[in-house]
Amino acid sequence: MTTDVRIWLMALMTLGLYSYLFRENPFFRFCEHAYTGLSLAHLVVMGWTNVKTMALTRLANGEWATVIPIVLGVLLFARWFPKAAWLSRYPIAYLVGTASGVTITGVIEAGIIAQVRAAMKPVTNISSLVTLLFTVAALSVFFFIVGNKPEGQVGSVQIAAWRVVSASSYLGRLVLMVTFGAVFGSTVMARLGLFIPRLELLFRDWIHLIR
Amino acid sequence: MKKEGPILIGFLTGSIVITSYFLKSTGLKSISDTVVRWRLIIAAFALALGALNMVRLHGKNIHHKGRNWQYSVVFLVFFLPYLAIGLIRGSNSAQYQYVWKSLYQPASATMYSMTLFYMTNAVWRAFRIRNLHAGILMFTGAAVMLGQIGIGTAISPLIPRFSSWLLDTVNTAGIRAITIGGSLGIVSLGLRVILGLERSYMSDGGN
Amino acid sequence: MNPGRISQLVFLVAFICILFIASESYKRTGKFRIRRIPGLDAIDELVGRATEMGRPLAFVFGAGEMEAQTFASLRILGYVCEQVARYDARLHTVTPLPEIYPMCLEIQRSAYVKQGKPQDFNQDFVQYLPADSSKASVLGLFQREKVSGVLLFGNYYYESMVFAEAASLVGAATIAGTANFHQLPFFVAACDYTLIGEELFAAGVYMSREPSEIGALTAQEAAKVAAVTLMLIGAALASFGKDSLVNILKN
Repeated sequence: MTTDVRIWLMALMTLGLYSYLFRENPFFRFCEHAYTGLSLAHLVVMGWTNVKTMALTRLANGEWATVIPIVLGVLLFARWFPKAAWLSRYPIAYLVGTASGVTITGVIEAGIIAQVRAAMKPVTNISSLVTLLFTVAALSVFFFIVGNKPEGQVGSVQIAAWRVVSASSYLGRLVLMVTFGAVFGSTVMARLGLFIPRLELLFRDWIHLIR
Repeated sequence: MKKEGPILIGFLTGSIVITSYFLKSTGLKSISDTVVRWRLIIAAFALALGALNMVRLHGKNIHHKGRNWQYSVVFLVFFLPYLAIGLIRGSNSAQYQYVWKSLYQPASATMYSMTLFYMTNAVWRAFRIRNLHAGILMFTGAAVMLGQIGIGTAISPLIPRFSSWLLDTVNTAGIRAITIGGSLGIVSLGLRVILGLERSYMSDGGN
Repeated sequence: MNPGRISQLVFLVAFICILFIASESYKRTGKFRIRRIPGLDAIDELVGRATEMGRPLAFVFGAGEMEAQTFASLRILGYVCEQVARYDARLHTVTPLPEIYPMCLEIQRSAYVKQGKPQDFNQDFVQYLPADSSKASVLGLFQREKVSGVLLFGNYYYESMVFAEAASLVGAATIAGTANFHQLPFFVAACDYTLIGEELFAAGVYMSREPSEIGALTAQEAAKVAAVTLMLIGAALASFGKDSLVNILKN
């Protein structure tokens, strides 16, 4: 067994967290709280570094506009004072507005237009036809308004639309399950690769059971 | 000012980012980059708020000798010194890195690797449920796994071929549909936020 | 105009127009129907079960960056909080995103105010936990509190499998929702109900019938119909060697 303190710490932390798999216990609880403490400290250190480099240093260099995010950041604490709590909506609105802008611009091409474009492939064989039809079927799973079951006196067109969407959506659900299965299978294989280094730490580096 | 002000802020920040994406203007791009960068500064304050709340909760638990208060002590014993080392000596210092590599990294890797145990359990449960959807999911999962290892080829050379056909055709179709649907949802909700139509973040029930 | 972004701009403008037109149309006619989403129907059941069993619920956000999925999840949280306040259940809300911690507090507080029970709101039940270690903390929470139901929503990564399966192992009923396709298989395999992709974003309409949300969902629907039509026409044209539609979408 090793005498290296670091390996011991690593092994104990690993075992402590794995012990949850048996059941929640004091050893796990100790490691969980230690990990939480370290994790929070690390994030605060990183956050402080961000504030220092992106705000304070720039402010010291005369970039007075940087005072805006600092003031907005401070306003988050207004929620501690009931009468001024509404002020904390300003920084929240800033975060939410920016995040919305960033995500919209991020998905509009890659998530929508490029996907539609990629589906416009020439149908040259069974596989390409299957991909196209299955894409349409899977997309119809996400129809919420179109093709709902008609109620009351309705025309034959609506009934036909409902039947087409229902059939397509049924097939689409099966397509989605195949997709999930494929992703599941690939991920299990990848996760096996993550488990092996943990075993190496415990049985090779720590107790020298394997070499 | 209580509602209109925040809505205006949300509109301005979102619009600046979107407009700079479409318009070719270096001035606008620079403003947009600043707007996005400032988000990180505000987020750091939000982190401080969350961190103070955690310390308050654990402090309160110790003070009142609440349930499992000893572990609140553990939290503070690891949190405060590590924070002090990070703030005083920096995150690149030898002491900080020692703790990082000895405790933090193995903890993260352990949690990550635990997914394998839970996956195995989920597979077992899904097999027992025996409905059509679960059956298809598991059959495909098994086919893809077998297709990636030697045993699959040993059983039948058709397995790896079937597995790669599934990945190239059905999987592509499914992922494409989910991506389009999800992206439309993202655009839709994002636009409603920017246009001031979605206000649940101001906790007034969306009205 | 930045090159290659005309089609994206056209899409965005059309989307906004349909959103407003459909929203106004709903205000005039009041007519709207949406298909059932079983995962959302099950929320009431989950709260009822928690009240009967006297055990708490847990609502856990995904640890991925704050984005639209997070906002959609906040909307669901609002609904869950109201139900919890109405039926005197208990709810632990956990967020690994510090940015939404104040929002979670406000949503939970206002749900209790709305139900006329502001005194029942306890801010200790809303917790921010650092993203990395939250995996261990949430597992601990599930077993220590013996949760009766778990709701997992938002931008999820590998923790999806861990949380969903750990919740099942303590006998909790689970409802999950994410638009991240790489995590959906695990939710589908391990949870009782899963909101798949866009279903997460339809939750708001499902729960409130707010005109602008109906407008937005109608715009999404129109976009999907357009996507299907374009795909079929584009593929047919490409089969005859014509790439004109593909090229238009490249502009």
